[in-house]
Amino acid sequence: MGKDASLDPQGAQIVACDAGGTMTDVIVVDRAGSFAIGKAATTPDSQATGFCAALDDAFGPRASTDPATNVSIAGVEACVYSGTSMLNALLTGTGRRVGVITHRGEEDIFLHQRSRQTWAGYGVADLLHHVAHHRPRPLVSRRLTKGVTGRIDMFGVEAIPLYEDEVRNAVAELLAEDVEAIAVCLMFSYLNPAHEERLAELAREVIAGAGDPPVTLHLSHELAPIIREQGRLNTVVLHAAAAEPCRRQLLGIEGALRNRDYRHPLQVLLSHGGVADIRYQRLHESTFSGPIGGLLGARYLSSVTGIDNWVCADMGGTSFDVGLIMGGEPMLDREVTVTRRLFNLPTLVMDTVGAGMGMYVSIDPLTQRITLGPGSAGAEPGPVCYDLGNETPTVMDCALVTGLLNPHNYLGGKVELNTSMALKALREKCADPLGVDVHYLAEGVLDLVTSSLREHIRTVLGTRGFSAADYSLLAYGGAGPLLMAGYSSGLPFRGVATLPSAAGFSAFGAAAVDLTHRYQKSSGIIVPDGADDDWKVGMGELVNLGWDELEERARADLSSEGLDWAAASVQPLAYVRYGGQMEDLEVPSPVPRIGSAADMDALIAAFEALYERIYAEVAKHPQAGYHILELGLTVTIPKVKPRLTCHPLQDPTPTIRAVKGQRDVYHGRRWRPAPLYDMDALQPGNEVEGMAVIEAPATTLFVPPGHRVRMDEWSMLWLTSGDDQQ
Amino acid sequence: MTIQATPGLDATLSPARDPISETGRTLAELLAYRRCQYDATGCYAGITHPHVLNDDPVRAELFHSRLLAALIAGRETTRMVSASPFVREVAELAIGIYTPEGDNIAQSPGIQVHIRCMGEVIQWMIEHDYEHEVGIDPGDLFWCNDPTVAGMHPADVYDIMPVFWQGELVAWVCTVIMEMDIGAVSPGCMPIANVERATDGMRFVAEKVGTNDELRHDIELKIKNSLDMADIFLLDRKGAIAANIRVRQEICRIIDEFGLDFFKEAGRELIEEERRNQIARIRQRTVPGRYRNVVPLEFYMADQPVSWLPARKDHIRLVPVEMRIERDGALVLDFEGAGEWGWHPFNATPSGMWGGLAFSAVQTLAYDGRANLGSLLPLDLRLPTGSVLNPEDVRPLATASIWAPVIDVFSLWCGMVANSYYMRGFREEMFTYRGGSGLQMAGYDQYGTRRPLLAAPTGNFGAGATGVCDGLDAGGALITAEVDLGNTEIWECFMPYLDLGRRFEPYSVGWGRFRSGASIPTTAMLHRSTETIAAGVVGGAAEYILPNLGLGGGYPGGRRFNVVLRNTDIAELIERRAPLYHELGHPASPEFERIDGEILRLHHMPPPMEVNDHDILIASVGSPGGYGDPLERDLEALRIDLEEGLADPEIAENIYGALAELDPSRNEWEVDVERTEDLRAARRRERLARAVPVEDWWRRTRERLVDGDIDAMLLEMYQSSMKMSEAFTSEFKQFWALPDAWTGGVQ
Repeated sequence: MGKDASLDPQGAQIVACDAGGTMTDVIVVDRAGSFAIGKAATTPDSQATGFCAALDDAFGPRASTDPATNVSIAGVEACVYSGTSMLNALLTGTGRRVGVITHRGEEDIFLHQRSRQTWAGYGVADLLHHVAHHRPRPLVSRRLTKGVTGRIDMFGVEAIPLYEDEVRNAVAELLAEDVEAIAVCLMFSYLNPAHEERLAELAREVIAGAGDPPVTLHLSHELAPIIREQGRLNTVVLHAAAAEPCRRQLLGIEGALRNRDYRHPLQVLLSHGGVADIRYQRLHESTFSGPIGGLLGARYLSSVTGIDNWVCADMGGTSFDVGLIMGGEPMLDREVTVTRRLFNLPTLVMDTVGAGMGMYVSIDPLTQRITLGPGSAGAEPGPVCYDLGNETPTVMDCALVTGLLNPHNYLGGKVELNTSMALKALREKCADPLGVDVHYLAEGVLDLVTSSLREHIRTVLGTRGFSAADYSLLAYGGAGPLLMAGYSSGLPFRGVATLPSAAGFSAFGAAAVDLTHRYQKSSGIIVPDGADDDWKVGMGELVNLGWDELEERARADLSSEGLDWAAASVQPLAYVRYGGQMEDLEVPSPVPRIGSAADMDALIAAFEALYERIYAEVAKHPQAGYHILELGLTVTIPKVKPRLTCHPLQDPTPTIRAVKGQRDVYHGRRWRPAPLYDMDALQPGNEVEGMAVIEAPATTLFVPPGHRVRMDEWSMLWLTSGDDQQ
Repeated sequence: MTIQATPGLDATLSPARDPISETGRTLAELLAYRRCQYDATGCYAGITHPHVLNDDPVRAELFHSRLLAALIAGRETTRMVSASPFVREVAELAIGIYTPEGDNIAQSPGIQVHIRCMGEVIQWMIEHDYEHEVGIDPGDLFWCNDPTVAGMHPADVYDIMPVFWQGELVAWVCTVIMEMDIGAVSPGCMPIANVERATDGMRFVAEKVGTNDELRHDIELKIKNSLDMADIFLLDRKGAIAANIRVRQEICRIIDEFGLDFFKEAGRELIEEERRNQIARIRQRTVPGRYRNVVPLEFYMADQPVSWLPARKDHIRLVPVEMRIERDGALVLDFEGAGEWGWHPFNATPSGMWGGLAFSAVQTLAYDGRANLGSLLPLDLRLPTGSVLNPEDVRPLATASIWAPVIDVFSLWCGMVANSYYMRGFREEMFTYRGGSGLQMAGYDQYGTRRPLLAAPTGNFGAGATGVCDGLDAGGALITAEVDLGNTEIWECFMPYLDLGRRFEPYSVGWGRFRSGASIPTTAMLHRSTETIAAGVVGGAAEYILPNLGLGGGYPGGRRFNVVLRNTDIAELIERRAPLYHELGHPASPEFERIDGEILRLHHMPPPMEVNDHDILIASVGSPGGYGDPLERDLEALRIDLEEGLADPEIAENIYGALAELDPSRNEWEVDVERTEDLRAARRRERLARAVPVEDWWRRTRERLVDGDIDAMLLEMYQSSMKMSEAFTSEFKQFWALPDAWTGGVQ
């Protein structure tokens, strides 16, 4: 992987962005695989402004501040957007005014919110503390939630006909409330959409009769045809409230890019890891794309380096996210909890704990035990060392006082850190109450943090039955490399790596994605234990019908986007479980269609192999038969991606240009001098012996004693301990 | 908590015959030794000076976080393999790590009730010399769901596994999952029409069911021949076993990393440390003294079709609750005067009562993730033998609903603790709760299988008000921390019914300056059912007497009741597109009265009755209490209640003393502030006018007692308590100045 300094602006080929709530990162990759990362403040009212500012920052002094003389990006073949704007619009209520129609009797659905949402996302202490539970703000108010009579049952059969007068009244009432969109979610509509479809017809009549106000209709069976009505409704509301405003923003960005001669459609990263044209119907699928960029970057690394099992660890200021790449592919969940709300939305799995560098450190006055969190200092006021008013020590303050962080090099020197304030706060608030030395305390806190992160990784692997011995760890995010020696310690990873681009790796990942669409539908396939061949073939025909239907939708979508079906690769999926189980596994079908009993056996064998790998052998229960309650299909069209460059290896000894000096670091209960290196000046083949600190503008890599870092031919930095080296 | 010393044993150890525990001791000796140590020192395992954890607080944290992480990982494994909606939808499961002698070191999140109960099963096995008579070897699996051993009810099945390290038993791992089917008399899980042991269903009496991490083949066959839902039961067990194996592996890794001696010492110190922490919490947050209240437990069995005919009678039992908090932080709950046990499935057991104390104490005091046996050691229960809380011999009795009295007692206890919090100024920590409830049926499901039909969304109860804010609307049941309603689509896939609505019931609320959360009644219409019976509701919804759960002048929540609508005209209403039934409506003119058909309104548990498609089952579950005087309720909060349907103008005027109107032009509620102030002032004057001196009230009430003007069931209730306790009798008669010979007119 190349470096900032070598980017050829005229050769820029890919632009990708990760627009967070406060900062927008843009990565520009040229045809040689070199890249540059730019940062700018996010501009929520017009995201194009922030996007272009970050783009200019990436081009650096080569860019002009005069729009008329901006660097042309005519040669760029793909621009990909990922970000949190849609989510923010939903959460802050700045999306469209949405009315909801559900069943009569269910009008309080946003007030009770399944109860689970009163504690979703809590740590153990808050979870067990009954009075700490509280409900997030309802997505839609009670007065904008209307109920109508009518019912489809659990078999998809009409049990109570739709009361059409109630529908007309509900729509009229919502129009009187000046809603801009109407979201519809009826029970079991994913099995039989007749009521939702008829409701939509009636609604259109009422809207037309009211003079055709610009009110859009959104139906749950079209947007999220998956069982569990509460997450499905949240998803439809998300789409109704935020997708179209977000699309306008994206069209604005696309317009700004066209002013710079960009000639292709802007693409958006989807939560399940694909990308789509910003005109894609189910744009809400891009809502949670921000955190998954790194996973996609790792997937791309797999395809290039051949290392196909990664544990991806993304550490920033507030959280530590862990995802897996298994066999070169990330894992997927279909019901996700985000911002303490449930959504039926296929999303790449990232298991998050609230453990970032901004996490508060305190001493429980009752038990005299060190307490990490809950809560984080965030960007403002930030850790004590930011000197912006916070007096509660954080993990970052611990890293600063132990010498791991350079107070003069934070964000490339843009922010000066106040070490003495951090030291004072840690001493007074933590060390003195415990009667221990403040530096011992600070190092202990870092040990605690890395231990909890290590356990989180172990849990992510363990609950799925995986072993670290089959994986390599990839650490990224601004804080990822700093503590990676700690949280990888004791786990038998094949290797532990980070990258010079760690701080912008999520944006890099967004640039490294194929154009992929994903489709799902419910089904009712049952294969009893000992089923005969005729039964298997009959069920196989039902499976094929489902896959055919999904493929038809995929063809239509690609056609509407002007894409060539012949270029697409298709992967049918089945969601298989033992009869009666509440959870299933996504099984990529080993055959394109089920044409025989043997094909069905092959699909079941693929499930059993996956199941056995994830759970213990004893957990298998084929006697209960197999249920396939959902089918899926992905279509993928290759897209241009950053080209990772393999460089010739240089001497193990870094050049003098890479040596920055030395600093005392408190480690192992004592101060020791540690050489400092400039990460950007290291070259493939260079090795650095611990103890050492390797600094980049946006990240720091700590190499403990007995460890060594080596930069490989792809510019990845591999950490090994003394044990590994023997 | 008092740990009984084993007679004849002291702290001197004798050589073991065939030791599998540390330093050559048998488990029985080890257990006896620990008990002696505790009795001798008052410290768990005799640890008077915890040093392993205190010497290095950072390492101590690392150790504990490793244990907790192992439990969380194991619990997730169970969740993924399980087949039960109780696990996936409402998280009715937990895992714990225990010392070799059965003391809980660490507990996963989830249902906290079993912290001590699961350990009691291990100790029962030790006391019954499983070590030699049954054998305890690596890879062994034990099941227990027998409340006569320990536990809450037979539906909670414990999967227990020993953890060995180089030949030595160093720990146990236990997982609990609640089952929908345990082969009980209909409906099959928590039947109310059962009073005898045999009708409780399958009981595993700490039975060895597997070796080498494999279930015995004959046990699998036994399950398949005994349960309608054998596959679900077995998948749940397999999930639990997989989780236990995972936790066992993690324990071995921890020992690898920290060393065996550290594991053993630190594990026990975690218990002692938590004991001390719990004392510190009690001393910090409560005020020493004596707190008293009473719980009436109502049992309506006269109409229940039980074959043990003496059981067919209705009765009430009084349970006086006295909490004594000592200056040193010791907390005793004394139930002196509790009425006698009876033939019904609602007798509590000591183990069940400890279970109730466990989940209540963890979620009010010890919620920092360190809860273990130590959280309970400073606490003690005094449960009179022969009472409804502690029958002399549980073995002949049905035990399906131990939960019901436990919830009633400990929801009240939370109110007592809340009063103590108030005195310390921890108003935000005050609250009360009521239990979860659900729907019980039996019959053929929509797939043609005969089986129990049980939906138990724990999240339909409102939470009690705190001293600083309203309680949560729905989501307030304390029985599990991970309270949840689940999805209607999931429940309907398991049960032959259509849920006609989940609307909040404004009259369920406990009103106050801060109100309790509103609850959601069950509203289920039978659909695709065949030969189905409705068999009551979970949680023993039986109530004429409101529980005393208001705080600081707040009102108690609404009463629980059940309604069954049979032979309804719903089909005709559907044909005419007329409104169906979706909510309770106003108590004086409930919505269900619009439905033509047979209306059975029951303030107690309905006996099993046949129901058919289009019949409707309604369970109104009430709520806990409010906090403070409703006349002090903030008017903007009231306006929002009106907007959200959580109050109506009648509640506003009659309860809150506020006048509100709907502005038709804006379709928004408005509260008239000026007229409300006047009305509230008038209400306060009316209260004073109605008030009588306590002495007058006392005299009038005493006259009624002396004249025998007392309901027969209530009189029998007092007589039962008098039979149980001289102290109660003496105090009762002394308070009311009754003659010694007073019996209430009935001998």
